[in-house]
Amino acid sequence: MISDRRLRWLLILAALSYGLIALASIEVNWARAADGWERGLRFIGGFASPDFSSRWRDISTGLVESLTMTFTATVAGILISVPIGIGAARNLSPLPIYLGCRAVIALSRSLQEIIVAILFVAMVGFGPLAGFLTLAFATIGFLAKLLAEDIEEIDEAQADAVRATGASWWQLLDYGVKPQVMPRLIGLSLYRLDINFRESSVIGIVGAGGIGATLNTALDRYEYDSAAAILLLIILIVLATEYSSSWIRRRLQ
Amino acid sequence: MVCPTTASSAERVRPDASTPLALRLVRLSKRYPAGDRALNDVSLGVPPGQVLGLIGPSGAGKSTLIRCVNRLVEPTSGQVFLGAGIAGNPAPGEIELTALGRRGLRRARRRIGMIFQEYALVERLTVMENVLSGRLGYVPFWRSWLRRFPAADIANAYRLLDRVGLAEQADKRADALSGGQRQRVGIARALAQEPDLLLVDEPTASLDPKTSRQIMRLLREVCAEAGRADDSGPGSGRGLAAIVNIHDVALAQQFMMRIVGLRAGRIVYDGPPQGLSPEVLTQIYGEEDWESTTADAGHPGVAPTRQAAGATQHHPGPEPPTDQSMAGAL
Repeated sequence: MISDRRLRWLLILAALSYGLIALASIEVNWARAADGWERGLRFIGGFASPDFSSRWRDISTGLVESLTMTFTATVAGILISVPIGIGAARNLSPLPIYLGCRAVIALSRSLQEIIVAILFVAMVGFGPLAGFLTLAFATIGFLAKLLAEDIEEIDEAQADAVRATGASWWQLLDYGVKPQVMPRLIGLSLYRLDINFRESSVIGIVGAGGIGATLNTALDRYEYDSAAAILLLIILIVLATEYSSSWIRRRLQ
Repeated sequence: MVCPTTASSAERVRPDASTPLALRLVRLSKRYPAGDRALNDVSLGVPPGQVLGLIGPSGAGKSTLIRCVNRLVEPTSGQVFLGAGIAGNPAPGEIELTALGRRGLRRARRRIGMIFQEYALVERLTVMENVLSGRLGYVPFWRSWLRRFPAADIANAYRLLDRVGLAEQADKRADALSGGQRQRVGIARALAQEPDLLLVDEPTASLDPKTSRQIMRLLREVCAEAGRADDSGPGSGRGLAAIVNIHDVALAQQFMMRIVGLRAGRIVYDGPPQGLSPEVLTQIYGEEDWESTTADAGHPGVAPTRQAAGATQHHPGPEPPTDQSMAGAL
C-alpha cells in the first residue's frame, strides 16, 4: 500500500517504538498484583462452590428487577425509536426533521450507558427507575439509527410503485416501507433486548438497581460464592435470551 | 379483416391537431443535478388507445420521460397534460400535471398506472394486497391500514387477477411467484387504479423471450379492453393509452402501434413500427448492422400493418390467445 520502502519501514519503526514507550509508562505495583493474585484465586474458587441459597432473596429480587427494567425499557425504547428512526431516514423525511432526529440519535449514541446511568441516578435516585431511563435512552440511539439506515436502504422501486398509485405518505409507509423493514426491526428489537439485559447488570453497579446492584453488594462483602452464583445466573439468562432471540429471528426470514 | 380505414390510420400514427389526446408533453426537459440533460425539449402527444413504444439506447432518457409524467422525477422545465380523452374535446378536462401541488398530484396519479422493469411488487405482501395497493389513492389511510378495502375493489381485484391468469395465486406472497407471474400482478395492480394512461418501464427486461411476448400481448389486450369496459355508448372503444419503454426492437415492432425513438434526450424518430428502417435505427442507436434485426420482424410494411389494424379491432398480436391459453402458458 505504501509504495516507498523507506517510508514503510519508518512508519513500522515509529509505531513499534511508540508502543514500547507507552507500555513502559504504565506503572505496575508488583506487590499489589501479588496480593490480588490470591484474591482473584478466591474469586475463581467461588465459582467452584456458587452459593445460591444464603442470599437467594436478594438475588431473586435483583433478577426480577433487572428483567422488569430490561423489558419495560426495551418496549419504551422501541416505541420512541420507531418515529425517530423514520424521521432520520432521508428518503422519507424533509431535511429539518431529518436533522433533528439525527441529532437525538447522535446524542444518545455519544453517551455511554454507564455515564447516562450515573446521570440518571443523580437525577432520580438509586434504583431501577434510573436503570429503566438509562436503557430506554440507550435503545433509542441503537434502534433508531439502525432502523433509519434500513429504511434508507429499502428497494426504492417498491416504494415508487406505491407512490405511483397516488398513495398518501402514511400509505407509502404502510405498504412501501413497513413490509420491507419489519423483519429486521423485529430482529433488532430482540437483539436490543439481549443487550439491555446485559447492560442492566452493568449499570446496576453504579446504582441503577437490578441484579447489578445485588452483585455489587456481594462483591463489597467479599461474598465471592454469592457473586459467583449471580454471575452464573446472568450468563444463563443471557444465553437463554440470545438463543431464543436468534431462533425467532431465523423464523422471521 | 383488414379494413382500409384502420390500415391507413396505422400509417398516420402521429396525431394531427384535431385528434383528442390522453397525454400531452410540451417542451419537456430534465437536467439532473449532475449536469447531464436527460430530456431535451421533448414534445409528444398520445391519443387514447394508442400503445406507444419508446425506444432508444440506454441513457437516452426513456425512463426519465415516463417518470416525468407522474413526477416520480420532477421535470426541470416544460409541461405535462393529462387529457380528458373525450373524443373531439380534450381541453376542458385536461389537467396540467406539472402545475399540481402534492394533493392534486396524488389525485392525478390515481389515473396513471405504472408497470416496472423488475415488477416492483411489494415482495412481502400477498398478491392480493399488491393488486389492492392500486386502490390506495382512492381509500382513506385507516381502511388500507386495516386492509378493509371496499367490497367492490376486492371483487374487481379478483376479476383482474382472473384476467391476467392468476386467480389461484391471490393469497401467495409476491416473492413466491415467477417473473412472468409477477409482471402479471404488476399489470393487475396498475389496472386496479382504473387508469386513463399506463406508463410501462421496460416490462420485459427481466423476462425470457416467450414470457416477454406473452406479457406484451397481454398489455396490448388490456389496453384495448379498458376502453370497451369503460364506455357503454356505440362506437366507443377509445382504449387505454400506454407509453412502453422497450429496448428490444423486434418486440417493439411486433407489438407497438407507434414508435418514438429517443437519442440523448431528443426525439429522433416518430412514426409507425414498419418505418424502422436500418437508416432510422442507425439514427437512434448509432452505427450497427441492422439488416438482420429488421428482417427478424417479418415483412416490414405488411405484418405490422395487419397487426396495428387488428389492434383497433381488439385482436392485438398475430394470434390472439384465449384467457385459458394465457393461464396455461404459465
